Amino acid sequence: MSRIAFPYPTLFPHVRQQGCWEASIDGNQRLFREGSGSWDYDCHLEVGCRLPWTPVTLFEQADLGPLLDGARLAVVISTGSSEGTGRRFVATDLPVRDCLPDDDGEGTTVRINLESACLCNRIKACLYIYSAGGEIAGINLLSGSILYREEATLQLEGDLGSFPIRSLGFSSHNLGSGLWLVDCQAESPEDPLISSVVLLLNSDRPEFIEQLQSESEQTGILRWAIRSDVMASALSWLLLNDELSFDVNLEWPDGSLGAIAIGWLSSLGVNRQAALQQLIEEMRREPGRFRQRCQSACALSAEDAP
Amino acid sequence: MNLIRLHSEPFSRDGNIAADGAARLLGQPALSPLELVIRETIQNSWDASLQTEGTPRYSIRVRHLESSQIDAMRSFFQELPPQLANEPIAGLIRRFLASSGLVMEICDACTQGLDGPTSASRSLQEGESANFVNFIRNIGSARDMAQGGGTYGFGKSSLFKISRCQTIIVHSAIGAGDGLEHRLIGKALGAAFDHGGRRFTGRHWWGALGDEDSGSVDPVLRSPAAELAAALGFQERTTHEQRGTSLMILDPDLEEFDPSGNFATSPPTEIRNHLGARLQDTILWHCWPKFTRRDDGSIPMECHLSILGDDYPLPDPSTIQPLWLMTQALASARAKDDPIHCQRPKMRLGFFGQSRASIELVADERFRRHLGETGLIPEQLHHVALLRPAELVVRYLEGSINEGEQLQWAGVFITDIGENAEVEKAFAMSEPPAHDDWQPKAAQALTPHQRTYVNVALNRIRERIRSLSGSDIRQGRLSGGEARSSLAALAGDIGRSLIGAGPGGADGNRSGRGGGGGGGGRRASLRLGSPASEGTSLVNGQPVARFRIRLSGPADTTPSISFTPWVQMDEGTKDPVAPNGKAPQVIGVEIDSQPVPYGERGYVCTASSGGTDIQILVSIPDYVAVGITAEIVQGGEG
Repeated sequence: MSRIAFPYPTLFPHVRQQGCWEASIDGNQRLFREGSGSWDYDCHLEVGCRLPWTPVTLFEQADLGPLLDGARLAVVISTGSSEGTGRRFVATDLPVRDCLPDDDGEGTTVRINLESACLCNRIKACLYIYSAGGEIAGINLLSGSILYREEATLQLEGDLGSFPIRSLGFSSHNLGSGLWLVDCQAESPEDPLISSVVLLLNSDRPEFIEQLQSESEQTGILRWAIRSDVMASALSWLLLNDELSFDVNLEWPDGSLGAIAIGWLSSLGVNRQAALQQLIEEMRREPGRFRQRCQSACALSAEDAP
Repeated sequence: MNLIRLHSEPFSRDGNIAADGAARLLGQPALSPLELVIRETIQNSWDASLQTEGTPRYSIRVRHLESSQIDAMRSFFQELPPQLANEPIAGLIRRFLASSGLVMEICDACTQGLDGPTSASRSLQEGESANFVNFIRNIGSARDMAQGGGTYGFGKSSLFKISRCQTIIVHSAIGAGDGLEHRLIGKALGAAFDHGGRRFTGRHWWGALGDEDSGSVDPVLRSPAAELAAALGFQERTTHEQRGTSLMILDPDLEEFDPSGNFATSPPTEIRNHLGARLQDTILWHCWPKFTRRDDGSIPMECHLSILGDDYPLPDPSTIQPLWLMTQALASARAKDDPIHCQRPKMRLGFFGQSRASIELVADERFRRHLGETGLIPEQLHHVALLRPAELVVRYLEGSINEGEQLQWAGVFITDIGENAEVEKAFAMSEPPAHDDWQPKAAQALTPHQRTYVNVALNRIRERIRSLSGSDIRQGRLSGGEARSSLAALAGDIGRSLIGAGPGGADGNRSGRGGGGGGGGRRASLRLGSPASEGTSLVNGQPVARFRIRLSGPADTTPSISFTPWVQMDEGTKDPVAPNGKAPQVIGVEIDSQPVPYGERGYVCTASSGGTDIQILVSIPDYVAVGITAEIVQGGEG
């Protein structure tokens, strides 16, 4: 239902319910209002809108039958963190006649594939039905007159923490073989974790990456091993590197390497400087035992995950 | 009458450092004794040249003493430590004097020489140099010289280490008015020993009997020193340009002269060539910047080598493959085009230069032909040379050949000086006694800022090395056409379990509106719903839009309502007038198809239980979209 009136008859008064917008992200179906969950620039993204009506019946109900043949349906996508800096493009534009009813005959679904690499932050999808012009009940319609419009927004990026992961050909970067590498580079514990630690997966071993991705979040053994290795490697690098001067008693900025490390240390039962010194000693003398403690902490984390 | 006296240093009541302890002060450098000696002496010569004019000259002369020189040497060492004492020096010198008398003489000219007072206990006048006492008497004296190469003064122990009899003789010619003053003294670093009820440190000096009652000796001075130097075969120093110092290392430990080694049966030519290549290779690898021409064509230092009477000129580093890559990188660093900064605190730390070339280039074989795999200059370069402003190589940081681009490369980092020389001091103080590394962690005297400078510089240099080696994994690119699969779900899984909230995926807007509840016991108040368009039709030839608004509230109340139509503009704003200058008008209000009259209170509508739908007719003045705002202006309750 529109809150504004156009200078000609439209479909608005006859649409009782908006379409149901959903996204398929790497095969994972999500309603727009649920956000993307996990998305990145490599994701396969398909957007669908199921309209609870078919164009033919709707045009008949609205007494706009004469306009049906010249009417078109378009979806315009806007993306970016603001209208001013974002990008806007027509994702689809087709004759309404080509929008076939769904199998149940009660609605019509419009589907479009979007290239994730061209998107950012969020997408706003605007569905238009517009006329090529004509006359209805004595009123002339100009070409491009909007007969119906609705929009929906899908949030692509939010605050669901995402760990920096990249795939990389190890052999072409002088890294030899191996499955993964936890690379740490920071000048201070104040540096953001997402720019300080990165998990590199060896793209020379696609079967490994495939297996890792196919594992369950809760029960995947490989994922568990990697989570604990990330924690152990990053903590070792931070705590054994005197140049970084990490202090467990200091308050580090949110999202910083220091702040995340304090959380990890807490899960290991280390909350004071004296306990931290003992842990550092353990890292040096019994690194295997330290890594096992990280495995234990990561197992708890996984079980606690929603 | 022999004027040379031996003074063996006794321990004082307060204690001294033993000679063997002094020798260990150099630490455990990774370099060979010959490398240490060359680095230390070139550094000393460079520092000694900073106050003088002209291009300093550095030379090494390896030779056997002539018989007359052996005689002079025997006369010089007439007094030796007592045979009964457990001190090896005496025996080692006797063995040397009975041998062919191999010596390695390291000389500089156009330098300052070992000037200043000869007694370490004498206080210095303002501006007075302490070169003599620091080199001959003291242990570990800090050198305070702008853009100098060293700071600790421990490196000289390398000279004694390379001598099989741990003994050197020093001849120095310093400026004295219009002429020169000659100084000559011998020194040995043996081991602590007991004799005659006293304990001695193992440090020995041979010189002229001093004035003091301590038994200490002074250097032989002036003409007697010059005559003695000539008798021992030291390089002649008669002119002002020949000012400088000669260090004669007795019985140097050179593999080419090891009687039981690989060269035992080799002809002298092979020995000469091997040692010549060894010295050239070592000098070039450790000190090539000092022999690399500047932009103006001048050369910082000249070098001459003489092995058993044959000259071995030092090749220009820019003619040696792959060392020329270093000289190119040095030119780039000297141009200061690529500074390296520290952000916190803000400071310029130095300048980087780099140069790359194909790995196909064939390496220069002139040293490797003699030295084989023991040569220092690699066949392919993948190194960054770390220099302080004195342009002496502190050390090399190694990367790897860039396999992807089939390139070898060289980099040079020269530290900046900084305000009050703070940056240079940071790097100088982070060097161990052998000046062969930057170790900010081990340097306790560094301030936190200075430690940061060194750490940040090293980090930045390592980043450059990764980039030059083609192993910069943070900047790694996928090969063209490689299919990529998204890692978002995995990143989200690991992110949520390891870091919780933070930048990443989105869960939409689930905040909900609710709150619900509340108000259950309150009396419902009058409320207008949002207007909804119900279509457009022609009324008397005029397009008219019909809106519906729901009025809810207590039954039988009669609020008066105002309706304000507007035109929807493209950019989202509402305008009272259409582009043709006409305004939309309310032309009728109806409830259940019955017109609502417009009176003094406006449109007075009657609410009914379950809500009342109000129809509003608005004229559309142009080809525009219109909307309407409704407002209760008077409640009409009771």
